[in-house]
Amino acid sequence: MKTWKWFATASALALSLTVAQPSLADVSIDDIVKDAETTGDVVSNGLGPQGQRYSALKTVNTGNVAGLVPAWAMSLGGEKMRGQETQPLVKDGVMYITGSYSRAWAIDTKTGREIWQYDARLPEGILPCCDVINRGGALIKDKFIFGTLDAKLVALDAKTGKVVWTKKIDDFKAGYSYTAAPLVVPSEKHGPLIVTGVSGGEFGIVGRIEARKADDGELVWSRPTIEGHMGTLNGKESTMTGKKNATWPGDLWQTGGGATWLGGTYDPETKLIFMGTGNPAPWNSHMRPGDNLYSCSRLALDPETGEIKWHFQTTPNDGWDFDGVNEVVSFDLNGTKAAATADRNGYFYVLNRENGKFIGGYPFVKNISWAKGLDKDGRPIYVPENRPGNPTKSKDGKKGDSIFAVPSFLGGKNWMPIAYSKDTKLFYIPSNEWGMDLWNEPVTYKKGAAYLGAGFTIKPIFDDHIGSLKAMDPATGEVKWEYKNRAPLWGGILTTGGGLVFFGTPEGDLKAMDAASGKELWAFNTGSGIVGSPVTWEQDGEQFISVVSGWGGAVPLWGGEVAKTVAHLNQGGMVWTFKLPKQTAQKN
Amino acid sequence: MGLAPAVSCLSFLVLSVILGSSSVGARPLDDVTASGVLRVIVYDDFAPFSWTAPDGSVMGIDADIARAIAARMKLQPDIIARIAGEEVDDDLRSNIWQGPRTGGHVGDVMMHVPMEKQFIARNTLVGISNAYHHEKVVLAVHPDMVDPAAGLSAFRNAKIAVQFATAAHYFIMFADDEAYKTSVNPFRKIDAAVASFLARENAGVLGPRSEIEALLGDKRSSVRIVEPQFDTDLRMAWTIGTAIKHDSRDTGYAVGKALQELESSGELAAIFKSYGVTRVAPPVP
Repeated sequence: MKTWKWFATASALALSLTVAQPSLADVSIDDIVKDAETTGDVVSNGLGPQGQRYSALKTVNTGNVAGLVPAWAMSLGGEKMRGQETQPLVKDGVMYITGSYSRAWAIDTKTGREIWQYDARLPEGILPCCDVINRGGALIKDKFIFGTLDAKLVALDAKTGKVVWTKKIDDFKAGYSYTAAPLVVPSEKHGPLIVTGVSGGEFGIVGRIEARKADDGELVWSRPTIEGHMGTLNGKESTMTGKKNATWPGDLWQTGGGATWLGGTYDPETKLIFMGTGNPAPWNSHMRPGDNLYSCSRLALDPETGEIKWHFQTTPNDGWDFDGVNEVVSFDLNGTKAAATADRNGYFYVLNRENGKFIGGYPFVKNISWAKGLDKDGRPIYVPENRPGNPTKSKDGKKGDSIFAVPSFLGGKNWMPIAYSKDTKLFYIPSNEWGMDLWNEPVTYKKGAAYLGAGFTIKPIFDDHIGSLKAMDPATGEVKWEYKNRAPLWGGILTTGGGLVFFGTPEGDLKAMDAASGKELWAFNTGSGIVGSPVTWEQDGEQFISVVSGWGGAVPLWGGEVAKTVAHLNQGGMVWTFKLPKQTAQKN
Repeated sequence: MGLAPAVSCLSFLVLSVILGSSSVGARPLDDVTASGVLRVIVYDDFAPFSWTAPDGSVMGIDADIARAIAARMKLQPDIIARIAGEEVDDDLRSNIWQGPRTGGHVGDVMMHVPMEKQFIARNTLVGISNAYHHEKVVLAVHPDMVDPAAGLSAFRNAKIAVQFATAAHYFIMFADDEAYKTSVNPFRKIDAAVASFLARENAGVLGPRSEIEALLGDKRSSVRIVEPQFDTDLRMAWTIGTAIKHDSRDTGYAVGKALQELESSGELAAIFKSYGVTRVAPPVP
């Protein structure tokens, strides 16, 4: 394994030898589809395409987790210490991670030594909205694929870190970037496909989902997320998304928004891709009466054609910036093929994943103000007074009436993924209890011209905490336990067959909780805030747990009361890997 | 800027230590003068005010004014075109007081900054002054399609183009009890809105005077430009000035002096005219 490092920096002669390296097998599409069942590797975002973030491993368990110690740590180096939102991938003794500023590494999982590092050459003046983060890469065949802040998809040779192909997702000069972990799905007609959305983009850009061939990055299909726009398949127009003007007035569908900035999941049983869509544009909902499909929705797509098989809209006619991008996690609900998703808007939805029908929905944060609840179809029962007003009907002559809405637009849950335990049959939801004052702000300028902006101030709901990790029963909506954290939670969850829930805090702790009771069993401070997602795998009979530490993301960019909970946190950039000392592990 | 960001960043640190000054931070007038270069940030992709030509040079009214300012200050101009962020407040952070999040310099001066009192008050880390142009939302119409004298009311039954999500867009969507809502044709960019107007797909276009004038070009004479009265709290007219970092006021004063000279000599109006735009003097506050 040590030799790879040497190969990566050596001559063409050395490179030719790497072909014969037997221990580093290609990642097949079957490896990805079955990732949840193979505890020796992590070859997909979500520890399996369904995104449950569950590992059956139980070497580390409730009885011995208190003895967990660091096995190694590796610094991401440089001055580029910013938010690290990646989820490591592990295959054949090599860990693959991405980092801030569009960087990627391969690391020896035994020693923590770097095998290769790739730095994307970013153009000056790119403007990613919410820190210079990256949420992870994808492995397929002999490649490691990830997206860059200047909106490119880069495929690296997994052995050497050298670029195999690069595809432009869109023009960074129009404000596009790419930060999500690409999704790899099987297809009968096209072979393995890389599925991505788009991040950012100028006001009024329409979101879309795209599938490319893993071998060369060639575009296979594209599916716009707003009704009225045409999709493509094999370079030709395919079908229209929805029905033009069905839920949008006039010509506003042309500039409808619905960005797809977070990655998707895939369910091998129904052979469907699940992807969420962002808020509609422009932000003030009085401009666009109607449901504004398919903004703030979950879409189920056919990997062969990119056709939408079903949709479920969480916030019709959104007026609060409640993006609907959150991950859809497939699970079995007493024999029903179900899926669950925890929305920005504060509700946890359980759907039938074969047809998108609503099964149940429950608030997972407290004091939700914008809706009284959900009706029998899962549609919100709005509180009309809590919708930001018509911008031309302001009373004080300066700005529209301010409303206080809960949750804030950063969401009951933001990007950080939930987890589902097959053992406890509970979902673990990293949430935040905060609201926002929200008003029409006429004193807003964009590129030297007057706009109508949204003025906002984000405020905590409770004195002692914003972050809240909840264990929720998807059958009843009952919260079985809650862990409260002073700073907002911004990292993903891992749960294991050892009865444990792992997650990180902005204060820097990686914590292990009893999955059944919520009792804290172990914590280790990593020295900087954790906003990434932990993983676990088994190697040579030992169970390892890894997380990338490094404070950043969107939270530090906002001021007000929230800033007080995070102002003292230090930057970082370190991969931490833990295991039990051999003697402790053998006691079981 | 051919160096990798990490390398250029490092060399800057080294330089700062050697020179005993902060090169990436503010540049008061003495430092600017000593360097011999005035670094000016303008918007990219923002015709007629500023854009990058295919050969890499920065063109436009703001770029030319910046060059003329540098000449008056006996400095070499370094004109940098940057893409716009979500709001001008973000651009001030990237271009004047903090620098771009992904690396790169701040400028000594940023052009085309709006000068409203509330906006100036909330951007405490910059100094915004030196008004050099007044922008106003106007209505251009095809006189054979709608009656120019009818103003906006002509668009109860005729289509009107507008740039998406601007103050003008919000205004026309709600004005006169939403009488025009179904007539409004939004475009992401003003050039597409004007192109659609010139193609007679829309009988009118509502937007900032300078951009509309420049985009109409020689077809200006075949259309009518009117200035409707807007009864709204939305901003339909605003003054344009420059921004400097708050601790480099003397640079701002020198820029202001140069701008005054350019105005009295007639150079300022001539620059606007060369791009087909009427320069409107800012109202005296």
